[in-house]
Amino acid sequence: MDRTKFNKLLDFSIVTLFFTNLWIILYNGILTYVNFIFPPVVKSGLLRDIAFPNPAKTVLYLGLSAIFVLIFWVICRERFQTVLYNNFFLKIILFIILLISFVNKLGTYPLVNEPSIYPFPASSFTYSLIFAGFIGVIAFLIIESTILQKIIEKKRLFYLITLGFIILLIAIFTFEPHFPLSAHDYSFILGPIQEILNRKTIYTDIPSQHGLLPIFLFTVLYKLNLVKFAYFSAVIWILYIVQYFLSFYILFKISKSLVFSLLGMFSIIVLNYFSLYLLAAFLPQTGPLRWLPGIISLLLLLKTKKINSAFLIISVGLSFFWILDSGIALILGFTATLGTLWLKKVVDLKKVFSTLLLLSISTLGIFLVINIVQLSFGYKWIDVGNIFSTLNEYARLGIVQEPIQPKVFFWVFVMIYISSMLYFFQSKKIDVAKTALVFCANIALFSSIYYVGRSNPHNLFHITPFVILTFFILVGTIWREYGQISDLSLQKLVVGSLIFIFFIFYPAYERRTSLVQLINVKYEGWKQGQIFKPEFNQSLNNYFSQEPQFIKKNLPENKIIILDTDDTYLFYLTGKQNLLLENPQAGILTQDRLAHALSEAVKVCPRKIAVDCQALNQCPAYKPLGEPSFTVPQILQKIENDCHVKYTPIVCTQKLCIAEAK
Amino acid sequence: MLNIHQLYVLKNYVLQKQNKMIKKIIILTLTFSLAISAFFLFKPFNYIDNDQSAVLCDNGGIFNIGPNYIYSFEDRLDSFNGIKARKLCQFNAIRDYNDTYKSPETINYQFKPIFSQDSSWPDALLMASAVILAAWLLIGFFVKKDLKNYFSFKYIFISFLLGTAVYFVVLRQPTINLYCQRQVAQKVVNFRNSAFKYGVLSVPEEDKHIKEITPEIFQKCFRSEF
Repeated sequence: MDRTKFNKLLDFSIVTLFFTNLWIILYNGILTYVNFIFPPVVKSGLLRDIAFPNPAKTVLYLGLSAIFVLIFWVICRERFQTVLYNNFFLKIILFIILLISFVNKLGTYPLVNEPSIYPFPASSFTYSLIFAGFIGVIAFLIIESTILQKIIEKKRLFYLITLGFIILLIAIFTFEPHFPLSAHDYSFILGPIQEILNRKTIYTDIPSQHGLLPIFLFTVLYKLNLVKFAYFSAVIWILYIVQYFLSFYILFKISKSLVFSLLGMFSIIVLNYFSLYLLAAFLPQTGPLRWLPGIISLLLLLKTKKINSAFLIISVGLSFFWILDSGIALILGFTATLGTLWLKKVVDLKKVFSTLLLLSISTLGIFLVINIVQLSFGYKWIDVGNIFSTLNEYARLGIVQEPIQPKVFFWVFVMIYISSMLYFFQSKKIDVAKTALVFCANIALFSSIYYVGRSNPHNLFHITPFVILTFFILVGTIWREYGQISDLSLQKLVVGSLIFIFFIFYPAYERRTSLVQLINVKYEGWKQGQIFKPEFNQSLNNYFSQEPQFIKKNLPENKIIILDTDDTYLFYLTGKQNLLLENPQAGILTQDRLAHALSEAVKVCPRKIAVDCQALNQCPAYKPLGEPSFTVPQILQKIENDCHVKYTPIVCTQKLCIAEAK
Repeated sequence: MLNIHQLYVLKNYVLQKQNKMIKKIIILTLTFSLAISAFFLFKPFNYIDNDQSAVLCDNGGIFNIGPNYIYSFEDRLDSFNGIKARKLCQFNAIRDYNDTYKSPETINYQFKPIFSQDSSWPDALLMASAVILAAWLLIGFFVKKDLKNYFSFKYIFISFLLGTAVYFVVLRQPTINLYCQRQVAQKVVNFRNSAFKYGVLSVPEEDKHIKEITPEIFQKCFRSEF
């Protein structure tokens, strides 16, 4: 790289660091002051003290980002590039000061070296061996890919074989023997499926935390007997393979470099998969179920090369009916991209409005199609207002929200966004890669609200896919400007090694304990054999050895009430219908939601109901299959009050009682 | 000899030049005074991290203060929070505002504060440069000229001196005022974030106590800075 290019990069880095530092100082300063003047106040109507309402956090995050984008637009439009004094050593000093100032704002690495819930390997030697093996395998694959690069450029067959090998590689890396799943988290999928199969309409009758289309997808798979419930985490695993492969493919399309794309893909896998404290498919809602529509939209943009392509617009419109908050993030990201392209005069205002109109029409059209299909199968019209009710509860009341710390690694994500937007605005020629960069950066910006709202360090790893993808698209695009990325040179070796160290080795090292435990538990699973046999069925039947029969015997009616934190699984095992309009009950967190859930039940006021024996003080505390219940006593009391009865236990197992109204 | 018309033109030219010069100096003076103000507004200060600070009980128990509704805005626990720490060490009790438990008469703990720093000197410098950059952008936006030649070193030097004077005469007091408010805000918010991170509770006793002690902390800060 010659001196001029290096100088340009240095200028770019200084400006990026300056604005990132400024963004962070302003964000922390303003947020602290606003929180001081307007302390978070919980609204009444919550069943548990789990809310930290702080709307200023997200508004400020988006507002400040928008203002900075406008500043970049003004700076680049007015050609203020000569602001920096052209002295090389002065620039180096400035760069170092800004970098130190930025690093000081990061604090400690999220969940640094914290263990996961899984057992440790037998010895410290095995521990070291697993970690070294993991890093070694990734390094080996990346080095090997430099040799493959030349071959795949010439022969298409080898190219296809390589793609197949990469899919296999991802499948092996992310495979979880026996498909373990979290009973609590998967009940938010199985519960609505049961209710839909019992003729209840999603959103109109029952709420859904996981949107519309994922629930429909699983319902179809389940109803047609294509996938049994115990295999639901296997579906998530397949979606993980698709997500990581598409991430690789997007980077490959942009950079044309196998090494670079593999570096990006492994970085995403290390940060988004191996940094978690649980096996990733164990929790369904934080992985591809949330992010896949965005990745597909990004790919469609690269394929069609047009921001207003019909396929892309329909894909973005569809995402609204996927998981709601990630769908909204995608729609906002798409709209922000249109706005950014308009500022840069890549698209005119007419095109912006026609694209937004088309997006609105397609979203409405998809909603109509969904409703027509629903009505034709005998279901009700979907209540639009209810679609937003869960999101509203979480956003307005601040349920499970957490405060953001002043020193967090999240600021790296802000820096990646700022650098992408700066790069875009200072670019003279806008091609599809740069449009993809802005689109990806904007999706990352809006999907990061997931963390900004609930600033749990663990969530930082959940939101990494788009952020890391943005970073790699940015580096790939910059690098392409300086020559063919596929060429092997010393500079590329240095940059590749630095990326490997900072984006693969460093995050893996900081989360080494958990990472080793995750690999170890997978290895133990492989050792047990029958790796494709799900473990959940057996554990479910063992856990509820008496209860299904007990319920069937004592509650012969078809529609019943089971007040238990594991209600979803008891309905699953008994085949009974739920008299409550909520499944699972763990989703009831507000008085409004409770009133809605009981609206049918209090009309019937059944003589006998099944109740968790702990709520009736008939048994000692025990560990449930899902998460401990806090709301069963409140639900019971509400039924008793509304039905003017008192339920008293008549017969119990070790977990459940049958209570009769007196 | 110049005729009357030429003299008039010359006078106008000189006046215009003077006006421009005065305008430039005013703009620059204002910019520098605001930059100095931003510098002092964002100068660093230390505060107790209530989430990490702890009480080490004589009976061996260790408790982080913030999550247990104890806080310190200075380097010690005040009597209100000291009683809470005693009860925590003695009875494992928190939020005992109705005095269900009788507070032990002697101090049964050792307070171990952990300090955090808000902002830094490079940050203060960065904020000052941000003000200059903002002014630079605004001037560039409205003047539409090559700014490199718009301000000479002479203007910059004079304006910097004037800006410093304006800061000390006019802006220093409001800056210190805001700086101390920033300190108080950070200390209070740090406690609230620590205590309420898993769910906000309404604790009127804490609100009342915080309301009582914050003016005192503000005044203390103001006196030491002024």
